Order: sequence, then C-alpha cells, then structure tokens
Amino acid sequence: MNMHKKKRAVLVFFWGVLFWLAHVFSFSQVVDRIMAVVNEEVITLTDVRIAEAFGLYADEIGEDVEQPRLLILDKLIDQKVVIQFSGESVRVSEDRLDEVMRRMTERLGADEAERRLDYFGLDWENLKDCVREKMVYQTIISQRFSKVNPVSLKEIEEYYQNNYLPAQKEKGSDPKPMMEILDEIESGIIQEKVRAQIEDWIRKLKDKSSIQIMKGSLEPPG
Amino acid sequence: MSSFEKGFNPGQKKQAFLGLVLSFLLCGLLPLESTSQSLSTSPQVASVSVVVDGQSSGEDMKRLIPIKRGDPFSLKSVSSSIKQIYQTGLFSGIEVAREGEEDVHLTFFLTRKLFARRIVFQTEQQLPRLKLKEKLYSLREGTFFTQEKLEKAVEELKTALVQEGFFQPRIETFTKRDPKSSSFDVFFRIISFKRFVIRQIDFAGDVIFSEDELKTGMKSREGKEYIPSILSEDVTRLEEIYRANEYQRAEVEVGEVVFDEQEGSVSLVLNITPHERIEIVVRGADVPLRLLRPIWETRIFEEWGLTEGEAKILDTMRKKGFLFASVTSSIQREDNRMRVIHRVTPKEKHKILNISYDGLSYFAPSQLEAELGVEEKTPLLKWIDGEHLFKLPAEIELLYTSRGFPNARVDMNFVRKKRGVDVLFYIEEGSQQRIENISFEGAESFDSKILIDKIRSTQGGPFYQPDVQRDMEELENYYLREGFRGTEITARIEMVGEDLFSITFRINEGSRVKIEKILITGNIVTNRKVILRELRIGEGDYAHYDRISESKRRLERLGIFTRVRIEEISLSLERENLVINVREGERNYASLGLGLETATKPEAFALWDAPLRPRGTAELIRSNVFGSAGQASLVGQFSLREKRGVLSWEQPYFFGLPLLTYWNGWVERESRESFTYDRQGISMTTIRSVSEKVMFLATLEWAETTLVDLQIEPNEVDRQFYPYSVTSISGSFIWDKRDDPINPRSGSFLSIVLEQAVPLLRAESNYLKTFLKVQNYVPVLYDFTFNMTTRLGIGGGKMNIPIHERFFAGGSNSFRGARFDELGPVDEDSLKPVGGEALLLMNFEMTFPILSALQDLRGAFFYDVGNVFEKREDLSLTSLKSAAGFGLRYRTPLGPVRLEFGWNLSVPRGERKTLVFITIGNVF
Repeated sequence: MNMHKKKRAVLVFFWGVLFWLAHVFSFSQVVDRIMAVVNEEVITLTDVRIAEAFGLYADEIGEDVEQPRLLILDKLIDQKVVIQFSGESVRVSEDRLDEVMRRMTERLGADEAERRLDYFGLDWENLKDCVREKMVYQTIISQRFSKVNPVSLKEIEEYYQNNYLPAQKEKGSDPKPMMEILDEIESGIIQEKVRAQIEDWIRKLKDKSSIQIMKGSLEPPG
Repeated sequence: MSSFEKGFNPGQKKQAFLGLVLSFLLCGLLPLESTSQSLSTSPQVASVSVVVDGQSSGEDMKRLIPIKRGDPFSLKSVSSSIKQIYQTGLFSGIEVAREGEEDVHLTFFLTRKLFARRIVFQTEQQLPRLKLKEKLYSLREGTFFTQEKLEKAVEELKTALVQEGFFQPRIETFTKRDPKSSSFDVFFRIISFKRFVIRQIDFAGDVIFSEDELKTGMKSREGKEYIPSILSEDVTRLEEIYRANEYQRAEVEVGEVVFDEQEGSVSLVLNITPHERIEIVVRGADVPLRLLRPIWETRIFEEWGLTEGEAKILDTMRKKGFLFASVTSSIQREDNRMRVIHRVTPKEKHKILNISYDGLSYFAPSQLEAELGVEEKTPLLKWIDGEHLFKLPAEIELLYTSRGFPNARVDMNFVRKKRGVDVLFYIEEGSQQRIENISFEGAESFDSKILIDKIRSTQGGPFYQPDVQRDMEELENYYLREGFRGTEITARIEMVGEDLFSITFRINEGSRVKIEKILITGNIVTNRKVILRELRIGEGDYAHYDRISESKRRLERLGIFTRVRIEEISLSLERENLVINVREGERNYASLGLGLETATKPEAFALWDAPLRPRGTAELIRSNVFGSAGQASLVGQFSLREKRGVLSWEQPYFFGLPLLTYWNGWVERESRESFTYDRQGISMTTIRSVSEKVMFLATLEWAETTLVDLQIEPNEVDRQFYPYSVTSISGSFIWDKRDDPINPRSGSFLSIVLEQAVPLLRAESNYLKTFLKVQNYVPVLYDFTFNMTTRLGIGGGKMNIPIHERFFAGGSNSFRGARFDELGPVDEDSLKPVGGEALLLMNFEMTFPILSALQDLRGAFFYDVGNVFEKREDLSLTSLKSAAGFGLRYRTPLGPVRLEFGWNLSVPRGERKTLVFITIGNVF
C-alpha cells in the first residue's frame, strides 16, 4: 500500500469516527425522561420545563438561582404530595383560574405565550390544567393554615432585639422604637410561623410518601 | 487520485480539515439550537423504537408505546406517553431520545422494574429469620426492588436485629439476578453483632410488689441474653400483673439501659407507675370481673364507666335468664384507692315462653321474626336469650325506619306465667314515608327503565335516605360495568306531599371507554393464547369493569400465576389500553408423606399394642407444562393394604370447551377383607361447575382387574387370576350447600352418580350402578350440630356385578358397628363379606363443644343404621342393622381427626364388641 492510499484510509476512518461522534452526540437528543415519581405519579422533564417556561413558580423561586429546574421539581413534588393527601375535594373557581391565566399571558406577551405553547405541543386547556393544579395546592395550604397564630409580646421583643436591631445596624439606619413597628413585627412573625408550619407539614407528608427522584436525570439536557 | 488529494498542499489540507471539522460541529450543534426553529414546521414521527434494558425489543413492547408513526411530534405527547408507560407498573425508568427534525425518530429507553424474588439472611448464627423477614417493611418477597428500598431495608433489618438482641449489627448486601426474569434474590449477610447479658434488673417507682414476685413473671432474667423484644413482652406481662391486682391503669416502662461494652453486659431499670388502685365489686350476682375491668383501664368519665358497667352486668344477667335484674352503682374513694361498687338485684329467673306482637300491620309476625333473625332455625324450636330480647325493641325500630317508618315506637311488655314469661311487643308503626317518583337527569346512554332496575328504591316503595346513597353507588357501579369512567351521580330529594318524596338522580355521565390494545407482559413460559383464552374482554370492546374483573379472576384461577395485575392505561377520554401483567409461580412441586398403620386389625383397646408399619405417599407435580396451564403429576401410595401409582394430566379446557379435564392412568394392588386385586386402568374425567355450588362430572373409564387372592366361592365373574375388564361411562351431579366442605357446621350436600358399564373394548361388563348421597348439617342450640347422612346404592344388569365393583359397608366412614367391609352378606364357607347389589346407610350424629377454650375439640354421639343387600330385590327397611357410639373429634384444616367407639346394637348384648376407630375426615 502506498503512502497516498494509507493517508486516504486514515482520512476515511477519521471522517467515519467524526461522523459517528456527531451522530451520537448531537443528532440523538434526549427530549424527555422521568424526573421523579411521587406515590406512583410521574413528573417528567417536560412538566418541569413547562413550569419554567410559563413562570409558574417564578414568584417563589426568584430569578437569580443556580438550578431553577431543581427548585421547580421540588415545588412540583410538594404540590403532588399535598394534593394526593388532601386535595381531591378542593375545587378552584374558573374565574380565579382565568384571572391567573390572563396575568400570565400579559407577563409573557400573547405572541410569546402562543409560541411557547406551540413549542411544547400544548393548548390553552392543557396549560390551564397545570395552573389549576398549582392553585388547588395553594388553596389547600391557605385553607389549612388560615388560622391566625397568636404572637406574644415576648416573641415580639425577642424579634426586635435579635432580628430588627441588628438588621438596622447593618443598614446604617436609625432603628425605630418597638412600639412604632409593633404591627409590622407581628405580621412578620406570623408569616414566619405559618411558613415553618407549612414546611413542617409538607415534610411530614413527604416522609409518609414514596418519592423517587431519578438519579442522573437532574441535569437538564437540551 | 482524487482532486481532494491532488490539489491541496499540506497547509491547504490543514485548512480544509479544520473547515470540515467546523462544519461538522456546526451540523452537530444544529439540532440543539433548532428547537426554536422547529416551531414553524410541524415535525412528524417517522419511527418509534423501543430499547428495554439496553436490548432492542420486539413488536410486543412497541405496542406499549402510545405514539405511532405518522403522529405529529410534540413534547406534550412524549410526556403523556412516559406517564402512560409508567402506569403499566413494568418499568422504573423511562427516557425518550429524538433524532431528526422534520421526520422525528423516537427511541424509548425503558428500564424494567425488578422484583425481589427471595430474601435470604446469611449468617452462621441462629437467627429468628421469619421474624426478621416480617420486619422488612420496605422490601418483601415478590415486591418491586430498588436500591432505595434496599437501603431502607438494611436500616429496618438493623433495627429488627437490635430488637432481637443482636446489637451493633454490620450488614452487607448483594443481589443475584435471574437471567430469565426480571427478578432478584436479595442476600443480607450479617457479618457481625454483639450480644449482651443482663447483669441486673432494677425496678424504680412505687413498685408495690416484691421484686422477686415481679421477676417471676418475666422472661428476661439476670444472666440471660438481653433481647429488647422479649423485654417489651415482659413490660406487657408486668402491666397485666398490676391489672390483675386492681391497678387497672398501671404503666410499666423501660427506663435506663446501661451497656457495659467491655463486660458485654447490660443493666436495666424498669419504671413502674401503678396509679390508683381500682377495686371493682359486684354484689348480689356472679358476674365475671374480666368483663368490667377493661372499662377502667384508661381515664374515663366515671359516670360513663358506671353506666357501661351496669349495661354489661345487665346483659350478663339477662342472658342467664334474670330478665328483671336491676343494678345500682357507686364509687367510694380512699387515699389512692377507688372502689367501684355495683349492687345487683337479680330477682327471679324466667324462661322466655312466647313472643307476640301487637300493632303490626306492615309486617306479618313471621316476616318480622325472619328479618330479626329470631325465626325457627331448627324445626319447632324458636329460641332467643334474654340479652338479645332486650335489644329487640331497638332492632325493630331500626327495621321499621329502614322501611320508611321513621317514627315507629316499640314497647316491650312481659306477662308472667308459671314457667316463665310471655313477651309482648306493642308496636306503633306511625305513618310510612313513600317515594312517589324517581327520575333521572342527564342519563343519555341508558333508558330510565333500565336504571330504575339497578337501584333498590322503587316508585311507590318506602323512602329511607340511606337507600338513596346506596342507589347512587349502584348506579355508579352500573356505569362502570358498562364501560363508563368518570361518571358522577348526585341525588336531589324533594318532599312532594305528606310523607311523599320525589328522588331525582342527576347523572353526569363520564366517557364510555373502548379498549384499544390488550398488552400481555410477564409471561415467560405461558403461551399468550392461554392468557387470551381466559379474557372476557377484547380489543375494541367497551371497558366493562365486571368483565375485566372476571378476566382477572379467571387468570388467577388457572393456578399458574402468583400475581395477576390488570391495569387500565388511559390514552384519551374514550380510549385505553389494558395491560395484563402476570408473574408465573414455581412449576415443580414434590411432596412426601409418611405415616404408620397397624399390621393387624385394631381390637378395641389393644390398638396400642398392635405392630406398626409405615405407610406413605410421594407426589411429583409439574405445573404449566408447555406453557399450556396443564399439569402433570405422578403420585405413589404404599401401605399394607394398598399400593398405587397414578399418572395424571390435568387441563383447564377440553377441545376448547371450558371443562376442567383429568386424564389418569394407574396401576394398583389393594387388599380387601375378601379379596386382593391388581388393577390397571385409564380414565378421563371432565368437570363443569355451573355455579359455586353446583357441579357436573362425566367420567369415561377402562380398567382391568385381576383377583389375586379370592377368599370366597368363585363364580363366572369372581374368578382368581383371570382378568375382568370394565368399560364404563358415568355422570355425577353434585350440589354442595355446606358452609365449609372440610369442617361443615350447616348446610346440605347432595350427590348422584350414575354408572353404566358396557361390553366395549373387550370388556365383559354390562351393568348399571347408581349411588345417591344426601347430607344435612343443622346447627341447634348452644353450638350443637346435628348431622344426617343418607346413602343409597343400587346396581344390577345383564351380567352379575363382580365383587370388586359391588357395594360394601362397615368401618369408620359408613357403619361404625362393623369393621371395614364387614356389614352385609357373607360367603357361607369362609364367612368373608361378598358385598351386594344394594346398599342403604343412614348416619345420625350430634356434635357439641366440650371446652370453651378449645373450640376445635368436639364431642359426638352417633347412631348408624343400614345394611348391604346381595340382590337389589332384597333391599328392605326391616333388615337394617344399627350401631351407636360416641367419640371425640378435633377439627384440623384437613378435616376432623376422629376417635370413635362404636357398638353394634343388632347383635345380642353379650356378643357386642367395642370397636375403636381413629380416622381423619368426615363420615362420607
């Protein structure tokens, strides 16, 4: 075999390998997979991406987070657990649902919303179902934790001393006297208590549930 | 040489190469960016392939995928497909990859769910393996296996080991996969653990009793190994000791547990809080305190406790016949002691002579009693105890309420008589509420006439609100059975007049769902058609729920699967797939049974001295042969009297007909009183169950019998060494209404067998035999059961019936006044039984409980009457023999083990011998 033929063979082999690599790594693309199974109910990657694309949890998650899909998945798991354990009889009014949908469309812009629906192969009713599920979850939470927790004066005082004063000092602003901001502190403490109660309740529900998060599927493809 | 090779210098070549690499990379990256571009086009699915556990799968698996070639591609449909596939319960992981832009090639990568087939504990130490296995909640044999479950199971096992006294356990796990199925054997290797010896047990708190007294009742002892589970049982035992000594609320807890690692010992402290002492005193009557103690075990309102105690005392007194007993109660306190005193005035004991009713118009008295369960269960015997009597007014009121009389009132009155009391119920029925009209709104698929037939409420019938709730459930079930899913039903009740109601059922019909595909998985050996044959529903049918359930039942009844699951996988509102997942069971069984029998006839109480010889059975079974659900078995029996080998084939269908069919081939030798025979034969039996209670059997049999030891005068059919062949066809009818076929207590049984032996296949036989058996079990007072069995057999024909086909009687299962086969005509010379063409036997038995603590042990008195007649013309009621006796029997899952003593009443008193029988099974 002369040098040219050798070179040609090497070149052909090289192109072959390159072609194969290109084929494997770029043409074949994972488009969906199971990300979690919550009491035999599946959450797919597409579910997470839909929630991300339409900002279903944007308020709760914020914008500058490292792995938003991970947080969305966590939210979806919470949602499933809560609904499975207590949500069957909860209904959401169509008016409230329409209002949330309207605000979502406004935020994205009608064209962009339509484009995203197309991308996922959804129609408005499908999206409405996703929003409905989230609202059912919120309704259950608000119904369950609507009772106002009493806040003692001691708690207010402690909060003032341990949280408010250091925070003001850090900002460099003059702290207001406690009596002036009594309502503000009280509502802050109530919110914190409710949040802790909700977290505790969901954690207990999760302990009772069978939850499988698929290892290796948390890094989003594509 | 190509222009590419010719025209490029090394520099150019390098440039060209880089260009090409870049262009390829760009091409490769293109799809990543193209998701947004693809919006404007409408990509279609060009192909769907499935990879299961890394292996490309066949068409069967492809049927699981809802997306088909030609469908428009969308992420939504891929996501829905993943959810539908997961619902089949077969896969734990699902991933979908896409290739191509316009023409999309989809690959579904499926990972099978794995099952834990066996759980094995590996250790050299003696471990309570069964107990440990029960404590593995996360991983059980036959359930899905995941790594997470295994990790949880390890923790559970560690906790369980500690509970059993194996502290600080170190466990390794490994699994072995069965290459043929998706199942694992899971091994837990227990590498090490520590045992601790109890050095000291101390009691803290107000102990009251001496430590020695308490320790006597405990299994945990100083010097013994510390096992927390046993200590926990001890705690319960100690609490019982306190309770028995009137400390009803005593609490015992395990307090400080101090381990000495070096010494390998542990010191225990048990904290005891006896709380107050509660003494319960019943004055004026004998009432067991165990009925009253549980009332005071927890903290209760004392008034409630007293009332509850009084109610229990009155129930007990009334049950004993003290119908007019009364109770007053009080509580006395003294330091840490409470005294509950019930003072009973029993008054006179009365029998309930008669119950009558006044004011009945809706029910006839007998009808009312039948509804209340106080009708005559035994002829001429209506019986009710005092406790039940006092509950009757409330029961009657409830019964009336359920028939639309919400204001019915019942008053109970007594008329004292010499021997007891007559009870008179005054009933004020009040007005009846009725249903004037029933209508249905929203029912488009069914006519209201059909729906009205499905519910309990009727137009013009009584109105009872709970019935309406049941009606809604009935309607929902009807829709479900007819293939509808998601039907919602509400009811509106309106008062349309005085005591008149109108019911409107509002039906929000769900979608009527059709089955698109039926997918069968999990069958490794079993033929697909065997499974399909059992299905009562097919592709294209509506999803009738009852048929789906029936299909599941039929598959389970085949007996070849350890689990059958049928999942309905919704594809859309009106379409679904049915996924049938089966797990095949073990196919080979072997069993060996050994026993002892006496070499000589048992002679009364000399039974125990008789020489014993072994008897036994050996059985080999291979089920689901060729995946056909058929079963082959080989059974061998050997004993002094009989030796037998039977080869059987059992199949659930016979030429496509659902007839359970048995083919048997056998060789045997059996010794009877008058003859010993060798027999070989073949038979085919088919069984058709018409209902749970009614069954038909048909048998075709050919057998060749050679008498090898004949102890009677020979004749043309009863001849030694010269074989006699029988070809017969028989039909049987069985009607079994017993509550339990093994240990019946009530119900009846009827069987009729008709056997025609014909001179076919070189057989000489030509006779007809019929055999009828009727059994009745009647429960009578106080758990007594009366049983009557009647058997009538008649035979005859053109040829004499040979001795081995004639009727015989005598022995524990027929006539307990004679030994086996010895009732009836005998040979004049040898005095050995010759059997007969006719048989009539009646067995009467009364069984009763002996000890309340041993419910399965029962006593029995019996009376047997009957005889065997040489010719059927001899059959006469005047020539019957009788026998009587008594016995004990203990109920076991195989039937009662009977010990019976019988005497033949038809022989003169001086010649009567006591016959002893030990048998398992009922008289049959």
